[in-house]
Amino acid sequence: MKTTTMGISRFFLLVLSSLFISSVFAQKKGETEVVEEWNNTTSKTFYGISVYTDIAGPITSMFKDGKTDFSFGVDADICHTIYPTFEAGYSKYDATESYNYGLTQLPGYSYTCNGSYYKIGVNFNFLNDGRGNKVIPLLYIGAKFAFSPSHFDIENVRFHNEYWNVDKGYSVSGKSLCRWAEFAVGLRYPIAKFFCMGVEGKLREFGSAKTKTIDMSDGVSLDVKQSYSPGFGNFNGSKWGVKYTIGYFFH
Amino acid sequence: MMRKTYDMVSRRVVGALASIALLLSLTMCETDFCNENMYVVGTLRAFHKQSKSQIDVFLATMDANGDTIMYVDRTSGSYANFSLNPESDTSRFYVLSADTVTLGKIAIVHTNRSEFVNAECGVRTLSTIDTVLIEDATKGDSVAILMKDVDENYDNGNIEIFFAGFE
Repeated sequence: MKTTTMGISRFFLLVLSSLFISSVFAQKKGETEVVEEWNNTTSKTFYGISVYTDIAGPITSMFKDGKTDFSFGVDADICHTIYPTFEAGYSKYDATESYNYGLTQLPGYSYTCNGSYYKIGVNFNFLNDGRGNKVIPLLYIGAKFAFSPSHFDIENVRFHNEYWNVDKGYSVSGKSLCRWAEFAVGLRYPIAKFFCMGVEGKLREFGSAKTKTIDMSDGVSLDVKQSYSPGFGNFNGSKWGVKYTIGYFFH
Repeated sequence: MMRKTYDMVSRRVVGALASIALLLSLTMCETDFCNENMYVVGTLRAFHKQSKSQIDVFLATMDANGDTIMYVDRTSGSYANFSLNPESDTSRFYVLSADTVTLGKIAIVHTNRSEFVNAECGVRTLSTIDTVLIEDATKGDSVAILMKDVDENYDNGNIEIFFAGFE
């Protein structure tokens, strides 16, 4: 009986010892990996490239008739602090129903605008904790220069003056170039492995569009101001915007 | 330990800011209303030449045959409004007293610039006054152009006209 008890005790002692030894070795191996990763990552200048797409634009497009918008972006991670960024997108806007200045529309009135847009700038991250991770959460501010070469079509816009019995429709189309600056505050967080989700509030300012002068067939020359620009939105509306991104970090 | 705390804090910060951004995005809708001033009118005052006293007048647009097209509403105190012809470089008006007696006729020569403002507002015509002619020389005496631009900025006092034929 005594021999049996001692045998069981030795067995447990052996198991516990092996567990302890294996855990010690495992811990040492883990620390080594961490140190290696630390050395590999903290000494780097270039960590990788993020590719992302805006998911707010397509979702908005689903709920708003006449609006299509999608964009992609890429940025480079320099020292987990500086992120040079480039974005490109395409947008189409049908503002036909927006024409409501107390006048009924002429039959066949429409206003559409479509084109690509490009943004180039840089973001600065404030959440660089210097812990040697390959991908880290970002809390950033940034500035971008943006421009959009676009095409507009205005069909049968009403030209009206009741005092002179003037009531007619004009149709004009052409190309336009809009430029603006964009300031952003954003967050990006790794959600699984190297997949990241982000949210960004952006303020678009200093928007300008070339006014195009078109000579009409009846001798009137019409200055067409751009009403909408892809990537900027409606010049008549809010200049704040939010985008939600999902992307992948290539390291 | 430090790592866990950092992760926890950053997750909370990210969550809070993302929620704020979501709420903000719901309130940021583009407006579909016209925010520009599309009512473009000029203004005129009339005076007796001798007494310099003001005469309450209003104007009526006149077609090529001399027929009245429409009275132009007064919108500001002592000033009569006028709208210039967007399809011509000359606009002719009857100058009428408050009790619709014709005091004279004037022609305003101007240059136009029409512009498509935006999808919400449509088209408006801005003008620059070149000359003002008094067509009825027996009543009219002189004219002063104080402000040439007739644009979206509603400025009082584009033209002053002096009548001498009656007191």
